[in-house]
Amino acid sequence: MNSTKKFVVLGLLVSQALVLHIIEGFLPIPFIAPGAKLGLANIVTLSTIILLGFKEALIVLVLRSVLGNLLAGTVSSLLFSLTGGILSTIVMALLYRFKDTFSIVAISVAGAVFHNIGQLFAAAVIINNFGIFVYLPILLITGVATGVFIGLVTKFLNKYINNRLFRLF
Amino acid sequence: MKKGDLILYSAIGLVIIISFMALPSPFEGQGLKAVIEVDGQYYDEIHLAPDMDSKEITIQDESGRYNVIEISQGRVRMKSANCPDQVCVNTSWIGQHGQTVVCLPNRVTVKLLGRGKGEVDIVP
Repeated sequence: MNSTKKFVVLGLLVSQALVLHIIEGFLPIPFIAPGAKLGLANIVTLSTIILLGFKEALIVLVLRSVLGNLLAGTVSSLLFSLTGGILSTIVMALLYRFKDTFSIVAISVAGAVFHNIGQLFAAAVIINNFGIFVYLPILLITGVATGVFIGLVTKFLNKYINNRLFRLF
Repeated sequence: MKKGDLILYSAIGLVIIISFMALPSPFEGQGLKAVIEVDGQYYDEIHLAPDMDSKEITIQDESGRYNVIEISQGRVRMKSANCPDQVCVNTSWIGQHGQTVVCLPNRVTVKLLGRGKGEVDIVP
């Protein structure tokens, strides 16, 4: 892929992630613990790791977090989603290097878990109270649950787009 | 399911179990703590429990202003103070999350904060 094509694909991925990020805000998801959510935009982050690589995934993630929270969010939610997102992208990209050992679902679960850890860490630093780590067990469990869901979606999605995306260019 | 998955899942499972055992649950009310501030600065905090022994804390500054805070059975009050208005002493016992005793002339405040659940604001 040359740089213009990559530019276009990245733009498409960012806009998809952005739409998922905003739609997620509309979904009536039961409140379990602060910070627990589906993480639909993570589908795009994980797909970008698979399709293009770590650097591109990081670009998509940062752009999506900044734009998404600009459109529907707050400064503190931007900080939570950036720290959580960057940590989770690093972990997922690392695990994807060993894609023969780990399945997409497992990578997604690890990503979701680390997203929640990073988010909790950012929140603890912001409110200057590490007491909120009492939410860690609950956030880990919700992370596993949403991670499995996001992983399955990504697995089925990539079966479709993997061939088609590259046929387009 | 690939061969590394099981290792990853069991690692995460282990972390969950350890964190469950090591960390207190946020869904249980864990009582209150009284945070004492003098001149806007943190002075001391005491965890309150219904079955605790009575205790008195005296705060005195160099100009002779003093406040005596009494803690008993999960409640707090300003037992005595030499401030002119005595508003703090007349506030009497407080025992609920969010309540405060303020002594404005001596700049002493006692705040009750819930631990765990009450402490974290909901960020939807």
